[in-house]
This record gives sequence, C-alpha cells and structure tokens, in this order.
Amino acid sequence: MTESEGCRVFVVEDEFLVALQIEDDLIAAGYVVVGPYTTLQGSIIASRQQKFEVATLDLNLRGEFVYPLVDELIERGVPVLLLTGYTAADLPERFRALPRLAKPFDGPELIRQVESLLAAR
Amino acid sequence: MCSAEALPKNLSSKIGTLDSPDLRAVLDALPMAVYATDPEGIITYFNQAAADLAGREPWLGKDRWCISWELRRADGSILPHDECPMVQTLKEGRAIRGHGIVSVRPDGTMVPILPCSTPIFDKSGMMTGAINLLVDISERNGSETILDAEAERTAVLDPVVSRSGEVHAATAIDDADSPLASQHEAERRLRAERDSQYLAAIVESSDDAIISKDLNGIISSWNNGAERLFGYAADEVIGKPVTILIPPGHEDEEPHILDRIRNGVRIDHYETKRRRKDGSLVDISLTVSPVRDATGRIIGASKIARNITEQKQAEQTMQARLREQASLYHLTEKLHRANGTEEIYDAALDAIRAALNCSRASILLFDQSNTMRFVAWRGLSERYRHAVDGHSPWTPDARDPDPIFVEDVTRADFSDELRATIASEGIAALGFIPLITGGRLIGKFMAYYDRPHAFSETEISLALTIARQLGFSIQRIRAERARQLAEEQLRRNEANERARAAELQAIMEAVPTPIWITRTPDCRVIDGNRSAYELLHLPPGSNLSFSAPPDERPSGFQIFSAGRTLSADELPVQRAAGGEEVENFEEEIRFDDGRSRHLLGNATPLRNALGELTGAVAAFIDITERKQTEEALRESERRLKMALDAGRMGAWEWNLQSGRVIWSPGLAVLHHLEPGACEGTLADFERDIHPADLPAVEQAIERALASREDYHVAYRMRLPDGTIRWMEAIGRFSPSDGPAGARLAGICMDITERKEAEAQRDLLVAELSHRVKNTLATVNSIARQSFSTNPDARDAQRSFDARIRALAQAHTRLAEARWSGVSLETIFSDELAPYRSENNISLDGPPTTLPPKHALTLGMAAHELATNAAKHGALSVKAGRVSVDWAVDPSENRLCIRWCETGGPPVSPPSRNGFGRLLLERVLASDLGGDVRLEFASQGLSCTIDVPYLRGAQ
Repeated sequence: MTESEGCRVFVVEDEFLVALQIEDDLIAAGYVVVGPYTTLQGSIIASRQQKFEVATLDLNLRGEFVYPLVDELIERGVPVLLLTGYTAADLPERFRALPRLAKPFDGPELIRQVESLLAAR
Repeated sequence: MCSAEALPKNLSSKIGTLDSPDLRAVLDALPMAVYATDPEGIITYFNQAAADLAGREPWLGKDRWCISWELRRADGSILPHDECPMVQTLKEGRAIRGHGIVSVRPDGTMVPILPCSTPIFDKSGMMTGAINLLVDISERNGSETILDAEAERTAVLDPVVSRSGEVHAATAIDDADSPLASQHEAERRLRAERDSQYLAAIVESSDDAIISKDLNGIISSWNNGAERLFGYAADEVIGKPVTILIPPGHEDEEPHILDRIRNGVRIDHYETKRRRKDGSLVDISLTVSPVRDATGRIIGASKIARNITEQKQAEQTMQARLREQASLYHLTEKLHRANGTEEIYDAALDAIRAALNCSRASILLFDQSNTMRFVAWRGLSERYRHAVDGHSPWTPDARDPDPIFVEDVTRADFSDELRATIASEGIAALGFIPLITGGRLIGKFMAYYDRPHAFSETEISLALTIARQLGFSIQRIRAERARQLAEEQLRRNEANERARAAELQAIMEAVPTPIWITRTPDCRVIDGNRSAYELLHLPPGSNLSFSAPPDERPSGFQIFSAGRTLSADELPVQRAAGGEEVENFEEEIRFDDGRSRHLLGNATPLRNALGELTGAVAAFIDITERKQTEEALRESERRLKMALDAGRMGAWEWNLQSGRVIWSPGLAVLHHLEPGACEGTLADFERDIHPADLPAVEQAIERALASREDYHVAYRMRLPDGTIRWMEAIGRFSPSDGPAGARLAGICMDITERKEAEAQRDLLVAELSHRVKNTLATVNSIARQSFSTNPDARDAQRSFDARIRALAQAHTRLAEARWSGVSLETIFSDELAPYRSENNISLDGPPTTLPPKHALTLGMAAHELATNAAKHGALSVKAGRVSVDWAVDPSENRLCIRWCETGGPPVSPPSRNGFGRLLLERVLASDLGGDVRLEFASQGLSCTIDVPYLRGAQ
C-alpha cells in the first residue's frame, strides 16, 4: 500500500455513478485521483496538463471512443487500464492486448490491476 | 589438181549442133556424164550418163551452167549454179579441173563429182561454147546406180566405141585418101572431120589417159591425158608394148586383160597400179573396151586410165565430208523423230563423232543450280566425268559465247590439275561448243580427240550446226515435256473434277441435312437429296419447286418465315437462282397435320464458266430441336436473370485457356458499368477490387485453381464514383472436358446491405453489452451508495429497490420507444405517479423528447426528487403540491426544468448529503453537463435543472 501512496491515477469515465465508485475505491487504496473526465476532448486536454502514473479509461464516452487518447498515452509510455463493457472482439486489433477490466467490476480487482500496471512500469 | 589447158585452136566444130548422128551416138553412149552449153552457158546437149548422174532430164535451151538439181560444196554448203566451174570456163575461155563438189538429185541422193569443163572454139578462134565432163567420184555405193545403168548400155556402147575406133582409123585413112573425095564424099568427110574433131576434143579434153592398143598390146594411140598421167609423150610410146607401163608384180595383168578383150569382154574400173616414165607408181582405175573393125572383129582395145591417186585422197576427203554431211542429215532426221532426251543425246553424240571425226563426245547441261552436268557421253570414264563435273568455260548468263577449240591440250591454258585430268583420260584435243536456245546458254557439247587435232572450218561450221540442232531439239523436247505435263495435269484435273463431282453427289445424298438444287434459273424443277425428301415426306425424285406448274408442285406443307407464308419468289432457292446469296435464312415448314420443322440454311447461285446463272443450291439444317432448346434456355436464362436481379447478383465465367472473362449484364450493373462495357479480362475485374482486399481475392482464386475446389470470397469493391460495396463471389471450377477449356464460373452478389446489417448488428451487440454492463455498473454503484449512506438497512433496501425500479422504468420507456427517446413529461409523470392524487401534481411544458442518457439520468433525478418529496416534502402531506414546468431555449440549446414544492412541511436544509442530493447535484452535472440548483425554501424545496439540450438530438 505504501508504494501506491501518493500515486496519481488518471480516471476517464462518463458514467458518474461508475466514476464515483472508481474514485472511492482508488482513494480508499491511497491513490490520488486525477479526474474523472467524462469527454474525449476534455480528457485529452487534461492528460497533457496533469501529472499521473497510470490511467483507467472508459472506452465509450457518450458515443465517442477514447482510442485517440489510448494511442497518445501508449505513445507516452503511460500504463493504461481499459474499463469497458465491450468484449475484446469489439476492440480494434491494436488494443486487444491491453489490460482490460470488464464492467461491472469490484474494487479489489481494480486495485490489483492498477498495482500490477505500476509494478510492471 | 586444177589445171587449165587450151585446146588446139583448129577445132572449129560447132558444139551446139551435133549434126553427126554417129558422134551423137558416141556421146550418148559414153559411160561418162557429158553436157555442152552455148557461150551463154545455156545447156545445148547432155548425154544419158549426165541425165542419170543428175537424176533428172536437163531442160535444153533453158537450164544454164549446170545440169544438176543442186550443187553443194564439199563442206555441204550450197554452190549456186552461177558459181560452178562451167561459169569460170565460159568467162575465162579455159578448161577448169574443178574441185570435188556434190551434185544433189531431186530425190535428195547425192553424187560427188569432179567437173572438167573445157571451152570449144571455132576456126576463127571464137568461143562457141563449152563441154563439161562430170566424173563420178562416189564410192562404190554412190556409183552403183550409174554403173548398173552403164552395164545395160554396154551392148550399145561397145559397137559405138568400136565405131569410134573406126573413126580414128577413118581419120587416118581420110588423111591418106583425100584425093578420092567426091562432092558427096567431101560432105561426108567434112562431117566426119567435124565429128572427129569433136571427138578428138573430147578425147583431148579428158583428164583421163585414153590409150588404144592392138591385140598384141602394142600402143596405137596416146592422148594428152596419157602423157600427163604416165610422163611419156605420144611419140615415145606409140608402137611400144603397153607393158612398159606395168610395174613388177602386175605382169600377169596384161595377158589377162588382153585375154578378156579378145573374148569381147570389157573391163570396168579395174583399179591397179602402173609405172610412170620416172619409175614412180600411180594408182589408176582402168576401163578397157574391145575395139572392133567394121565386120565386128576385135582388132584392139581402147583403155581409159584414170589417175586415182589424188582421186583416192579426194575420195577419202569427200567420204569424210559425206560422212559429216550424212551425219548431219542423219542427226536432223533423228532429232525430228526423237521422242525423248535420250534419243536426242544419242543422235547428237553419233553426229558429233561422225561430223567432227572424234572418237569421244559428251553433252552437258546446266542443272537447276546452274552447274554444268554431264547428261550424255561416249567413251568417258566415270572418274573423268566426276573430276570435271561442273567445269564450264562460260557462266550461265554468258551472251552468245564462242566455241572453244583446244587443238593441243599440252599447250592449252588450263590449270595443271585440269590438264593432268584431261591427259590421264587420254584426251589430246577437245572442243567446247555452246548450246544456246532462245538466246540463253543452256549447256555445251564436247568433242574429244586422242591426238592433237586441227579443227577445220568445216568442222567448226558443222559443230555449230549440230549445236543449233541439238539446242533446238532439247528446247523442243523440254517444251514438249512441259506441254505433256500440262496436259497430264489437265487430264488429272479433269479426272479429279469428275471424281469430285461423283463424290459431291454421294456426299449430297449421304448428308443428313436437306439440300435443294435447281438446274435452271426459273426453278421450274427443284430436286432434293434423300434427306430433303425424308424431311418433307415426299417420294424421292418428286419436284420440290413451288415455281412449278400447279399440278407438279409439292403438297402437304407450307413454308413460313417471320410468321407468314412465303410466296414461291421469296423462297431461298428461287432467290439464289436470281443471283442472290441467301445466308442464314430461317424458315419453318408447317405440315398440314400440324407438325412443323424449323430450318436454317444458305442458298447460293450456280453459274457456268461465263458467270451466267444456271440454277441454285440450298442446304439447310434442321434446327427444330435447337429452337426448342434455345427457347428452354432463354426461359432458363430469363429466370436466372430474374433471380440474379432480385438478389443483386451477376454471373461470370472465366475461361482459363483464353483468359476471357464473361460478365452477365447484371454483373456489369453491379460494377456500375453499362452492360457490355466490361472488356472481358481478369484485370477489369481486379481493377475495381479494394486494394486491401485484392490479395485475399487473388489467394482465393489461386486456391480454387490449385485445389479445383469451389471458390468463395468476400471482398470490397471500389466503384468508379468512389463508393465502397461489399461483394461475395462463389465459383465452381469446370474441368476442360469440353472444347471451351477449363473454366471458373459462378455468381457475384452485392452483400453491402448484409454487411452493413452485420456491422450494425455487431455495433448493436457491442452497444448493448456496453450499456448493459454500464447499467450494471451503475446499479452496482447505486447499491453501494444506497447501502453505505443509509444506516437503516431496511430503509436502504427499500431505497435501493425503488431506485432500481426507477431505473428499470426509464429503461422500459426507452425500450417502448425503441431507445429513440422518451418524453420528459412521461419521465416525471412515471416517477410522480405513486404519489399522485387529485391536483397535487402539475406538469407543464412543451413536448420535449429526451435522449436515452438524459432520460435515464433525469429519470433517476426525478425519482430522487419524488422520493424526497414523498418522504420529507410536499407530497408527504395531503395539501402539498409539486409542480414541474420546463422550457427549451432554442437559441442557447438548453433545457430548463423547474421542480417546485409547495404546501409541504417546513423545509430545512438536510443535515447530511444523502445519495439523492449527490445524484442530483453531481450526477446531473457530470453526466449531462447540467447545472442543478437546490433551494431549501421554507415553503418548499425548489430545484432548477438547466442542461444542454439539442432539440431532436439523440
């Protein structure tokens, strides 16, 4: 837990209630939440301004797919965790290997995934 | 050999009038051709021997210079009469011992003669004419006829000669007894003198030695000829025995001769040798005749000795000339009769050897490669022929080349090798004589000599003559052969034509298709082949012409085309007989019993060699079955097309052999091309394929070709207008068992709609998954909020249930509207429905459709507001009222909703932020970007929700 102390997690989720839960879980685990951001454009701008170590991204932001942001973050070497209701087959080929957490998920699972991403960093 | 000698001038008898019958009898009987002319050369006399020699009766007073039909020189050339020795004699007044010439008889036979012409002068010295002795110098054969004739006359001649002997004697007596002459006697003697002069002239003019002797062999007369021949003058020998002339070894001849003479037997042309005065021997021909006195008693002999030494040489030369001449005539004759080149070559080789006096000869001709090749030869070894094969002094294009005569090979300008080759064959001299026909050199003939040989003018001339004859004959044979070949070809062609005509007739009968033929332009009669009669159910041989008189016309059927009966003139045979080529004519024969046959065929005019119309022929095939099949096929194609059109499909066929791709019109339409605009190659097809899909298509084709299994591939196609269509192609491989070769054929369909539907479905499934899972995540979150914020578990449970129900209610409404949206009024009305009583709730605003997200979020907000009002606010008391009104600001694209509670219990701000407030304030702000203002006024809660709203936005 100490490792995660102060670690900043960039959260993109347009469903407020879901974002609320993510936020609760991360904060409870000692992370600092950056966000949550609910639009593609807003999240891209914020991602360039904010400092964070890892990102959890919802795929579908009110009909817009978050892919441009995923590409940018991968480019920048930021570990990305996809949070989505889509199956792997629905994803573009290049994102199918990314760590993914299917909705609905529970808090411990989310924290475990974030931790492993940070550990592999 | 030529010598001229003037006769004694005192001979004055007039030759033209031989008025002494005796003398005439003597001349007539003389075994020697004699004729006389006047000074102009006109023939005035000839004896029988002359006529025999000439082979004709000379025309007295008309013929001039010569009695022969024709004269030739020794070389065979014509000697004109006005160039004969007689002409010279008359012109120059001297005797001529002519060269050997040839007298040609009208029958073509020839006699070599030696003319001896002598002028005759009268007493005044005027030349009154000339006499010509023609000495027959032919060899035995040639002279036989004359000698035979002579023998017949011997009986006549002998007494004449005896009288001539008497004349001699008489002359002597006359000289002695002149005083006894009376007038009559004087006339007789004058005549006798003339005659004796004349005879003396003849005797003197003779080139032969004429000697008379008595029975003891004592010489009694001796003429100039004898003096010339034997070298003795008359006075040296008269009175001496004739034996002085006889050389050793011939001693027994004289007694033998005398013996015969005594017996009255004449000796003709006895060839022997005599000795001259100088001792040299001379070849002579001796003719000895007995001389009788007036009583017939033999008193002596008259002998004519002819020097035949030169004659013998001349004879040999003449014989050679004759042989040459004969060979030439022989050649001409043989060439004219020759039927083939072999005969020509044989005749020519014979003639060459005879005429050119060579033992060996050959003929060479240019072959097709213009190489000189031996075609015939005599006496040449194979080795020699092989060695000189192809050798020619001239090229084939030589113009009028001269013959080449090599008199001595050792001095010839030959290569050493050639000279050695020629020498080893034993050839010492040779001649190359070109063969020319039509101005073109075709070859040569060769004459070979074992010893060096000087070619005489005669030989050269003969060689050229033979060459002309040979060349002409070869050309004639060649032309003849060409003509025969052409004739043979023609015969063969005719035979072929006949055979072909028979074949055609047989074929016509045998072919299973009907044929009509008419042999007149008016088509009065039309015949058919077996098939035609069978087709029409008519007896063979019946007239098939509708142009025939009514009672001859065929019946039982009518001919239709394009749906109507054809008149006779419209029928194909009739049209063709009018000169028209009728092609691909389709007709239907409708029989009276209702059956019908469809025919397709051509009719063509028949013409004779002049191009005039002589009839027509038509051949048809029965296409009834084909028509039916075609109809069935058309129907099948129509159905297929309908199916393809309905399914947005097209058919294609790719011939692997030709590479051609055939598209159905439907496929062209799918490619947005005009039907038929496809150029028919695989490239056309590949051009429209989306580049990203092309590899997959090519791979599928390769796989189908390799495995011979069905071809199945889906790909995108980019149309010329840029739109993308999805296509699915299914094909099957057809092996090359037919003439068309291996093919891949199949259909192509536009599956864009299906693909789009599939994509839509996939999208929907994904969206559904996304929404369901989001909803579940939301439910999860609601549960956590509900239970974590409410210490009362039962209350929390109820709140949670109610919230889930509210969420489900919004979902239900959305589902009812197929997620197109729900009216704002419905959302609020649904949430407030459990608390509605008379007039406690008012909803007021324009019809406003909420998109799903708005509906769900506002639904939850409405639930929280309604629950709160029911628990703590206006709806918790009977008098409380809730009014909801809303407005849309189109310029700002915002929706403003106002929730206003009145008549409820006094309101105080909540002590803690429950889930309802959290949801209202933060969820609306976050999820809808809205602005929510809660006012806890004492008269009741009011809530203003201001959210972005695009009218019609989903």
